[in-house]
Amino acid sequence: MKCFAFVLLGILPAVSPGASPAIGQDPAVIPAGYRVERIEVPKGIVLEVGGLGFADDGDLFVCTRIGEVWRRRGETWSIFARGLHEPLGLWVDRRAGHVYVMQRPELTRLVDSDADGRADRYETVCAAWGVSGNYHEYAYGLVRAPDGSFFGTLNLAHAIDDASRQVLVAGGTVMSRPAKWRGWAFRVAPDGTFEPWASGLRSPAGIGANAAGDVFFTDNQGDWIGTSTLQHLVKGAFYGHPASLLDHPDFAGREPSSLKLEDFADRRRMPTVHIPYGDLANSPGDPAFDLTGGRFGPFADQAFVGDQTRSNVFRVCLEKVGGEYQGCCFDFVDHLQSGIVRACFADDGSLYVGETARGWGSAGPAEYGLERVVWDGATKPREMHHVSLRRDGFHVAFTCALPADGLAAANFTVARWHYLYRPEYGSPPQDVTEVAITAVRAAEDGESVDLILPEVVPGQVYRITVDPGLGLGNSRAWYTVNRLVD
Amino acid sequence: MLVSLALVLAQAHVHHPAPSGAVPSPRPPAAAATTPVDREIALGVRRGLLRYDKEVLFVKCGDRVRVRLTNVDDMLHNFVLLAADGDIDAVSTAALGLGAEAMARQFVPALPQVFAHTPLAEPGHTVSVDFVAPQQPCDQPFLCTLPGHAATMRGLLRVSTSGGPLADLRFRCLDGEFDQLRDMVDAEVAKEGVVADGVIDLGVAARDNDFGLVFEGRLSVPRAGRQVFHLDSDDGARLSIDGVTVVDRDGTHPAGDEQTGEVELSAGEHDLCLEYFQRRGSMALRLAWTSATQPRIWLTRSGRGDKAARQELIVVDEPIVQRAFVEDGPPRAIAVGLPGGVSLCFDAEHCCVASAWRGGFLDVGPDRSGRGGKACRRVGTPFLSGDAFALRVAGEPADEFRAYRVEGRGVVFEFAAGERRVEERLEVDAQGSLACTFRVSGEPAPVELDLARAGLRVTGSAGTWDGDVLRLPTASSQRFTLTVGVER
Repeated sequence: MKCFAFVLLGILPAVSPGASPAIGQDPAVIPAGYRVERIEVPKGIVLEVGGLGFADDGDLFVCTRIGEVWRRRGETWSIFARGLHEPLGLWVDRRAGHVYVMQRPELTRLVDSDADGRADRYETVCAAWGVSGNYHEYAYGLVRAPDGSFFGTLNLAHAIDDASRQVLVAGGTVMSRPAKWRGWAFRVAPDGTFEPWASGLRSPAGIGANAAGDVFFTDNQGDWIGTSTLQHLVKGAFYGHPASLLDHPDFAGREPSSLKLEDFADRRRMPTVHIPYGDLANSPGDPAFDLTGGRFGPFADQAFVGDQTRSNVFRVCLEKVGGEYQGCCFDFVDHLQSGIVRACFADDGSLYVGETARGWGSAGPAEYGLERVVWDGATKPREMHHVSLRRDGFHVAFTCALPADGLAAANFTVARWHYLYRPEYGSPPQDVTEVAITAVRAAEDGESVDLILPEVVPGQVYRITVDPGLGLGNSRAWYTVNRLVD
Repeated sequence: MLVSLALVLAQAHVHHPAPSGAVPSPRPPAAAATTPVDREIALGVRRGLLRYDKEVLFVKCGDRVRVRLTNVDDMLHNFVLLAADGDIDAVSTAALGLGAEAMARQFVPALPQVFAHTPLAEPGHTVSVDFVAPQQPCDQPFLCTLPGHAATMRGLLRVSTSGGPLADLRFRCLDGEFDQLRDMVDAEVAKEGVVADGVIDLGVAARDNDFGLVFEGRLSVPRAGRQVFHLDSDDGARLSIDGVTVVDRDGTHPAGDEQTGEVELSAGEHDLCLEYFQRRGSMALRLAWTSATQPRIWLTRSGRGDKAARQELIVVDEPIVQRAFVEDGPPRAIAVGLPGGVSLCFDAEHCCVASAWRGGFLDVGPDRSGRGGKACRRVGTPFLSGDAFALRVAGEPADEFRAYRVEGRGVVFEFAAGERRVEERLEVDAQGSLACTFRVSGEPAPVELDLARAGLRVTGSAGTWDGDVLRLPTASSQRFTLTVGVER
């Protein structure tokens, strides 16, 4: 048996927590009943988190931007693999005991064939996408479907003067496609076959699946992306960034310079949820769906998303309108210790968030780390629970009953706006309009309210703000209206 | 098996001796240590890399100086300081010419330009030399005169009026939420003071968020000419010399995008001003200075949130495998450092060796600083390039990469050529050569293998060469070894 001792700034057989970085601050905003706990990372481990996953026995696996995979068992950390190419996704195969990682150039299976606790075979599962060597060519993951296939996403390259950029550079775009399938989401079949799944992605840093097995990803604001988005991943869809179209069969053989906005604008699938830049998030990561069956509080099936820049976690509820998902996002927890790219629920029902700030900057002061958000199992938070679209306005449900006199029109404000689809970086909110509430209908139990509006306009983001006097932990919601209720 | 790797943050001058205890503790310096000096400089060597751990040293005009050289290497070294106009190449060539006398003369030629030198430092030992620095500012080259070492073991002793890179360095710290440098104009000064050692240091602020710093001092330029400044910061910073902006990195942004600015300066002292602010999150401030006649001199200290740009992976007694973008390498590169001083870059797309070098392994700083993702630097001297060992079995190229594993002192790559599986094991053999052993499974078939042999000593265990193509008939193609001699 191989001894799995290792050297890291000295000789350490396995690392137990030493001094934890004395940085971080208490969340300024957090729903009642929730708390944030910092996971102590032993000194000497540069835990710039790129991926998180749990094994059946509760062991946590973490892959890091410098290419290591660490296993945390109880309070003890040991190295599982190293030498990987900036892995930004991880999946633990609980049945076989393997760990899959999404490296820049390939999807890899890490196999511990002699069961000594350390991977000894690094097996290539799929390496079918192009890599030119640009620093921005990130590969993200991982979602695994019940049939054993994987889903991941491929970032565009940054500022390379290739054909895909030339086409669009007149409009100011900066991201480009110097190699095949950049800007695509993909599926890898169980036999390793690569299948391009959807195009038009820019910087799709997070991916997750809901209870129904539907896959969602987030994309970061930038050229052609007016504000960050949460998107339902649909085969064949085009999400807006045209650089990826150079690999699209419908555009095969086209001269890049002949590609015009009118050729692709109508193909664009509208964002499932717009994530307002600055107000809520700047660079979202994984959507982690709460499939804990209530152990994380009353927000079952909703998504929790961490943000790199703002170091917060926000919440998204989804509903199907006209057969398609759309939904609403809310503040949840603010002021975590560092930028968040990964989020993952543990079997105990707590939400782990993996953090790194290097090179990107984050509001939280720590360079990297790991925290978890825990619900106390008893306290009912005082929050908006979800927002649903109605024919005549919005239904706002709360997690608890509010006093009848609070559910009056004066305590709610509604505004709407839209974002431009354009080659420039991002879009300020356009045509911001205050919407007068026609009437408020409170439910008898005080747990919900219908806000009646003069009209509901598709293609708009609606912001609903609740008066602080009602004592909610978070008081803002942003609903993206793509389709109207029949 | 105990040790796989040690990570050396070379710029921070951190050494991790071999964990086996093979490196004895440095012997205390000889009697000279009892004589008081004004400045004592601890100089080291970077193990196995033929480099000093510091390549620019600072002393004050007229200082009594002691340089202590600690040799953690497994070969001999010395420290030979030359006069201001000394010629490193001439001195190292003269040292080579000492022939049989070399040992007796400590490898130091009797030349007027030799200003001072230590005795030979044996492995694990410390030696020292005392001297008095010249009264006038100047640059004095230094080198190791052991044969062949001076190509990389060289540096510069800068004699200046301040004894540091900057003279009379002062700082002002301002509190406030700044988004631009101009926001600092009306801010109140929270504290101010002198930076005694002349090195710009973010640490003087003793703050994490929402502050500004202004450093002012005098820069001593030894020779008139074009000076280049390299600035990187998180958040904004601006460098001015004699009141003129040289580099401007204003605004809130992460580090990792170094900007340079050039300015013609006369010999002598010039006013330097560096303005900086930090908003929230991570922070960094790096300023370096180069010219045609001097290596990179850091004017800032690396500190919190400011990782050393150079991070070298050091191979000890097990191979290290690191996937990353590698200098001159393919995008799907797998860098391998083998025990025995040979490293290589494997191309996982074309299943061949893209390059190999001798000496050190890999500087992963470009991949791990700032946003990262930049090509890692090879540490050492390349001896093999151009897709070596590209294989065809029965005419079919090896183009399907399958897996790799570390096995003993070697690394095994697994791939397929058509229907056949190939295993390629790379290791350094007992003669110090790079040995590459192939096993081809499946129905036996003839094998061809490309290797640009120019300048190489290559031997094959089987097959015949046809130019740069080795042809192995079916009978000998299932297991064969190629050995590439590595000049030391």
